[in-house]
Amino acid sequence: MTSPQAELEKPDFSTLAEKLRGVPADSRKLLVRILEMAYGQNREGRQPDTAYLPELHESCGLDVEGMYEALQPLQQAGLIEVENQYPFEDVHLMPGDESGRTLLRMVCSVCQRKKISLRDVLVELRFDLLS
Amino acid sequence: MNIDYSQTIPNNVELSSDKTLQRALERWQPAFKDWWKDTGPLDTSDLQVYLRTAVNVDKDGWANFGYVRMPDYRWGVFLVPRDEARTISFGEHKGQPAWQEVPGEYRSALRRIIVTQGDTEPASVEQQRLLGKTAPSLYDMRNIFQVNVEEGRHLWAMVYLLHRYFGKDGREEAVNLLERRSGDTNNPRILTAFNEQTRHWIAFFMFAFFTDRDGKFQLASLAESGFDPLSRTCRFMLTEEAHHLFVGESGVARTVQRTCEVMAEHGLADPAEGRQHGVIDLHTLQKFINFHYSVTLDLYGSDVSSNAATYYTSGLKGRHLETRQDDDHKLNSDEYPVLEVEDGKIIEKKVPALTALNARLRDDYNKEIQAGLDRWNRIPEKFGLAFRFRLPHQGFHRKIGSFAGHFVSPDGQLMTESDWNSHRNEWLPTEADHQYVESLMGQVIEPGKFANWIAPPARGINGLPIDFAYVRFN
Repeated sequence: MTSPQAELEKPDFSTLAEKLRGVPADSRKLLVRILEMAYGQNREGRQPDTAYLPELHESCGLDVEGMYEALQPLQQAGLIEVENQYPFEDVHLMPGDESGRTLLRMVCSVCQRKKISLRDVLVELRFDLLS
Repeated sequence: MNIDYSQTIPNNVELSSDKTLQRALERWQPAFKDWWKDTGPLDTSDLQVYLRTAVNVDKDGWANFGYVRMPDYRWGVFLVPRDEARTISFGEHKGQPAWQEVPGEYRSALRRIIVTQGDTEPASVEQQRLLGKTAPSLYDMRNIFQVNVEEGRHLWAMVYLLHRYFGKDGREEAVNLLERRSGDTNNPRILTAFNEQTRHWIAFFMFAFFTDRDGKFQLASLAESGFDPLSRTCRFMLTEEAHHLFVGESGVARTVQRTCEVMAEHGLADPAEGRQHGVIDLHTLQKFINFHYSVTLDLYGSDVSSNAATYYTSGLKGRHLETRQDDDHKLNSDEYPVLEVEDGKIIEKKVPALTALNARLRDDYNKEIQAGLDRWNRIPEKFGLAFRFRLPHQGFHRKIGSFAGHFVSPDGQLMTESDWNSHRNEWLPTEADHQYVESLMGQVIEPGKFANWIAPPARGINGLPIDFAYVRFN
C-alpha cells in the first residue's frame, strides 16, 4: 500500500473520477474486485498491480461472458489491460501509467485506513469520502 | 446480510424464527447427507479439499476459501436480500408488487418449475460421482468437487422453497428429489440429459460448458419470476454457477491447447491426428461438441410451447435479462421467428412471440455458446492450424422440438434416416471414441503435475500457485 507520505501530497482524484464516470456501474464493481485482488491479502509471489482472471471468476460470480463484457469498458477507459493466455488472462491495472497506479493504490490505502468501503468510492463515485 | 453459521443449517433467512420449518429441514438434512454419501464423489470423505464457501450474499464479497472435508461442507439456504420495492416486470401482473407467497392459482405450476430445476442439481452430482478417481490433476479434482458441493447447495435452495411455501406436497417432493437417481431405469431424473453418463473428463468439461450454461439461462429466467423468493434464490445460485461455466470453458480450452501443442511439436496438420501421442484429436473434440450441444438444446423444450407462454403471461418465468428488453413485456401482439420442417425443407416461420419463448431463450443461449467457440478457435489459430470448431445446425440430432423425428446434418441438410445413420460415426462420439478418451484418464495427485492430454492452467485458484495442494490426502 502507499506510504502516508504520498497521501500528504493531497492527490487529485478528479481524472480518475472522470474516467470512472464513463464506465458502467457493473464494470466499476468489477474494478473494486480487481483492486482487492491486486492490492489485498496474499500478495506474496504475485505480479504487481495485477489480478488474475480465475480468481476474479470465483470471487465475483461473473461467468466468462459476463466477465469479458464487464472488462471491456474498463479497457476502453484505459483503467486496465488484459494480457496473457486465454482463458487465464491477467488483468493489469493502468499499464504504463505509474501515476495512475499510484492513485489507485492510494485510494485502496485510504479506504483501508479510514475503514471506508472501496465500493462506495469507486462504484458510487464518492471520492469526497477520501478527503 | 451475513449467513448464520451457528445454526445446524446455515442460512440467511432467519430459519430459527420458524421452528416448524426449521425442524422439517433438519429432518431432511440427514437424508441429504445419506444421499451425498451414497451418490456424491466416491471415496472422498477423508479428503481435505480447498473449497470456497459462501459467507455472505452482500456487496462486500461472499466467498471464503479453506480446506474442508466435503461431508462437513456447510450446505445451507442463501437468498439475496429482499428489495421491498420490487415489482413484477412482465406478463399480465406487470407492475404489481412481487409475490412473497405463492398465489393459489399458480401453486401447481410453480411447484413443477421448482421441482424440475431442483431435480437437475443432484442429478449432475450423481453423473460425476466417479470422476475424482480419474482427475488429471489436484487442481481439476478440486474444481469438480467445488462444482459438486455447490450443485448440492442448489438442491438445498430448491428444497427450502418447497418446504417453506408448498406444505405437505412440497415436503414430499423434497423427499422424491433424493430418491430419483440419474440413469436409473425405474426412477430416473426428470430430464433426459441428466440421465446420460458422464464417463470421463471431456464429457464433464463439455457438460459444464454446454449444459450448465442451459442451467444459467433457466436460472436467469427464474430470477425474473414474480414469485420473489424464487427470484432471490436464483440470483444467488447464478453467482455460484458462474465458476462452473469457467471450469467447463477453461477445461476444454486446456485440452485444445495441449492437442495443438502436440500437433505443432510433431508437425501434424490433420485434425484427426494426435491419438498416437496420447492427446484427444480436434476431430474427436468436435464430435463431443456436436453431442453435448444437441442434447442440451433439447433441454429448452419445444420451440413453440403453450406452457412457456402460460408461465410468462402468469409472471412465473421471464426472459433472459427481461428488464433490459425494449418492448411491452407482455408480447401479446409480437412475433418471433422459429425454424420448422415443411414439405421436406427447413423453413423460417413467424409465430406468436409468447409461444416462442423457449426458442428465444435457446437463441440467447446460442449467442453465448458461439462466443465460447470463437474463443476456443483462437487456440488452433494461434498455432497456425486451419481447423476451427463449428456449432452444428440447431436441427442436428434433436429429440425434442420441431426437428424431432427429422434427420439433419451438422451443416443443416435434411437427410434420410439411412443416409444420416451412415454418417453418424463421423459426427457423434462412437463407443470407440469414448473408450479411447477413457484410456487416457488416470488420476494425477502430485501437486503441480498434469495428465498428458491436458495443458496446465496458467493461473491457480484464489491467486495460489498451480502446484498448491488443492486436495490433501490423509
